[in-house]
Amino acid sequence: MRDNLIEALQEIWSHKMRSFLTMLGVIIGIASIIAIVSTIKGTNDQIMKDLVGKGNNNVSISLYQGDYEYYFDEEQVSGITQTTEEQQEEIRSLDHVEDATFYNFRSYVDSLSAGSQNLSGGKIYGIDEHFLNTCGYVVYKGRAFVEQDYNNNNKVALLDSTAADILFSGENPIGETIEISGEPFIIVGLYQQKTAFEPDIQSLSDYETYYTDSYGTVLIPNVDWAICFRFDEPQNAYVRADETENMSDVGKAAQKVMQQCITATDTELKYTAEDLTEEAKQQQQLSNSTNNLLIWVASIALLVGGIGVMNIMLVSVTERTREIGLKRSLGARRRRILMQFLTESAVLTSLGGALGVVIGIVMAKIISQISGTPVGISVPAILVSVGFSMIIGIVFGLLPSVKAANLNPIDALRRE
Amino acid sequence: MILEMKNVYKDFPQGDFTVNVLKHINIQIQEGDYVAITGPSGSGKTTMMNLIGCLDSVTKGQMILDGEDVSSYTDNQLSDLRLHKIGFVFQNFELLGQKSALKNVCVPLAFAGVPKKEQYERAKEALERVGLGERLDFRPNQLSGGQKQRVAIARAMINRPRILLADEPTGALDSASGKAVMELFQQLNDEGTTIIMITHDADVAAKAKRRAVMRDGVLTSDDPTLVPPYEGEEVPEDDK
Ligand SMILES: Nc1ncnc2c1ncn2[C@@H]1O[C@H](COP(=O)(O)OP(=O)(O)OP(=O)(O)O)[C@@H](O)[C@H]1O
Ligand SMILES: [Mg+2]
Repeated sequence: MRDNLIEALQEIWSHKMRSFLTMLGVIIGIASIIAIVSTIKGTNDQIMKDLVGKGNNNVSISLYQGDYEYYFDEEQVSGITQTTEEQQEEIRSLDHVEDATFYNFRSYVDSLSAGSQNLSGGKIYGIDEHFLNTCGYVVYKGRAFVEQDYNNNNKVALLDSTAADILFSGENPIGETIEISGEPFIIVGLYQQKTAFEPDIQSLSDYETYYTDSYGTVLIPNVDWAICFRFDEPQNAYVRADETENMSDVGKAAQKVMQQCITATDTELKYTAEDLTEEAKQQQQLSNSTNNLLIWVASIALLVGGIGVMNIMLVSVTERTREIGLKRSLGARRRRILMQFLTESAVLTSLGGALGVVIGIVMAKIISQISGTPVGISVPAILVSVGFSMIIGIVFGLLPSVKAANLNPIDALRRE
Repeated sequence: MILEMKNVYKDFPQGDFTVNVLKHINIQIQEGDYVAITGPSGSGKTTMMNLIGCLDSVTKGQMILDGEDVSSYTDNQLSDLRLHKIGFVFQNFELLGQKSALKNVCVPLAFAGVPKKEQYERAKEALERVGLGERLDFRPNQLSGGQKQRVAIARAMINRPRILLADEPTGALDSASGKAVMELFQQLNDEGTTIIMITHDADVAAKAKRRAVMRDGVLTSDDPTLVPPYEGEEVPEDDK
């Protein structure tokens, strides 16, 4: 076998130009497939990253009324209770759940101010001890909430940098007081995203996705929620999945548990998991189906390449008839001759495939430069491509090799 | 007896009719014999040699090689016989042009599954024996005709066959190189190798112990122990 390989490489090398031209069909076919696959994968990765991951695999489960997210205000929500400790623990112990947080939430709050500065349009969250971890936040200045804050209903607050900038215009806010619905809260820390997520902003809607929090956000312990807003307000939740692909399942399972809080039967209220993976999959499907078409076209190039290989191998068998006759007279079995030519053809197309992979990646990079689509190198696709080219060599090399093996040795030796 | 042909016929179908190339060939060759076969061009010498060398099978008759009737052997069995019991030397050497002298001699060893290292050692030794110890890495196009034929002989003998078949081994050589090849044959025969050689050259044929003549597919000899008299019916007129 090793001898066959070496001999095949020598044979290919001794006809460099011809070998290269023979490989060309396979090279073009594989290169186009790799270029297409890399572009698809790049686009899909980008869709996943933009739409779903946002860095931390969080599924948000929010209360809906009919088709719209429930807008909490001073009005009493009826037919729904808060999640119990048991339900919360049940959700945290679901498969693929890393952590979960249950929070109260208001947006466009007017009653947020520090001195004369007002944080109009800002958001406020009443959070439990899991919030920072689940959402991937860290306190980069000051301290986070501690057990005593919760036990003693301490009126403390955390700000994000936007809120800090607006309310204190660059001065150190820690230890300062802000008023929420007229109640004074002491700012104990500033928080931010743990890993700075850099969104790829390409359109206005991207911009809106990432910068809705440009009004600033304030966090307070959930035990203080009743002081500023209302008692027993139902919570929304964030659940963090271990992997992006599990987000859908995790969201559905958690949603089912939360649904138990809705006691009324004749209500439009329901908990809904924001299923971004589904949406992403639909978008990916779109890019896949257009490109699958292109892959079929590229496969035709491969087929043509295979026929070219068969053609040249037939020529090669004819040219080397005397060599075959000699080897047979020296005692080579048919099988050995068959393997010699099959190996040569498989090596030829595998080399073509490998070359095609390289060219395909370069092509994908060029396409990405021109059209702005990202490139995703898929290792399985590369392995499959090279494997597939090898199979092409074997399939299309079979006929010439069988012909070589079945040559009558005396005819082969008589050939001038 | 290492080789016996009993009433062997060989036909080649040629379109609508068949060419009867060999007719009632009888021959008995003993171990250690050195036989020369002469005869005009086209008389069927090479055809007979191909039968003896297990490259082709008889149309009719029996061929017994080293006690075995090979007439009904399979292709693989014949390949193995060629590998181990028979060595071929051709008029135009038939060396593989891409390979060095050493690698050419290694080819039958590789077919026999000999490990690489042993292949090189044995091939080197064989080339030294034919006086080419200095030419191991030369390609065929860097060797003279006589040298090429000596590489071919080293290759033919590398698996220590019982029979060496040579079809016009000196046909493409000048007289000096031819003489060297004949000396080599003599040496191999002295060591016990059975040699069957086809030649046009009377001087070359004279070197053999025994001689036979092929004419129109019929083999004759002055030596009845080599070619026993034909005892069957006369050959029909239209076969001639
Ligand atoms: N495969 C074949 N098909 C048809 N006819 C063949 C075949 N092989 C040999 N012949 C015929 O058999 C006859 C003998 O050929 P062969 O090669 O045995 O002659 P030869 O005695 O070796 O001649 P030379 O001395 O020129 O080598 C020729 O007439 C040739 O045309
Ligand atoms: Mg001849």
